[in-house]
Amino acid sequence: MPIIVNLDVMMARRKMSLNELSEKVDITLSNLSILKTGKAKAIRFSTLEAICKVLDCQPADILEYQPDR
Amino acid sequence: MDIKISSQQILRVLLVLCWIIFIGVCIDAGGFLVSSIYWSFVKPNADGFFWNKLPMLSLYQYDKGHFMAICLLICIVAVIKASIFYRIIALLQENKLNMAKPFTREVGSFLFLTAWLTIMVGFFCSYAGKYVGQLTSKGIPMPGMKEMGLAGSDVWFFMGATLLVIGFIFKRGIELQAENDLTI
Repeated sequence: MPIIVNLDVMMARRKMSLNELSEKVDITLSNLSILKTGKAKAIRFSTLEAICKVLDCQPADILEYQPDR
Repeated sequence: MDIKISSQQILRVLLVLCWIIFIGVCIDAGGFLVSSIYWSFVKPNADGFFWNKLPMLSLYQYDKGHFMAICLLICIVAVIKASIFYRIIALLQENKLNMAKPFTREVGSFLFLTAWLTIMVGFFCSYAGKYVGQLTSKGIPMPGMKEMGLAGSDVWFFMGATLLVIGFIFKRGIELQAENDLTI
């Protein structure tokens, strides 16, 4: 998929673990893992908002578009 | 007073009904199989020996090949009917039908296979109808299609086509459910 999720990069920058983010965003660890590994098909605005709020970043810091080669 | 019937209750009633029909169809299939094998190896002398007392002696005396072909068609249809009901029972009994998330690959494959089995029954019934018609036109007294369990090919075709359409809609439902599951 040409949409890349850079959640792991932002988590590393903020020095936040998956467990901590999961607790703060109120999303299950398995769902967060699906999002992190790029297996997710879609993301709700509410989820994106919560992640951006906790990680103090913009949606563009988490999502990136890379066209298929 | 309002009487609310839940899906689970309907499914439970359906399971009981399917068990009753399955037992009946199995007895029928077994009866036809045993009668056919018995008549193939032991020369019959009376109609009473065949399952359901079907008057098959005239056909047997006319040509053993035609008799075997009709018996084979009867047995195939009876066995497929039994297998259809077995599949329904297996689906309901093993709780593969999850009402919270009904669009599963198991149920999808069940629908498709049942649809094809139903169409197969329709095809065999239709072929048997033409075959019996040909034999009747030659003046051989034949049992009724209903007595042989070969009636209603059009109904089987209709049911198969309907199941196939539901199967295709279900396939889309499986995709949508998978997409929904992967929406975070």
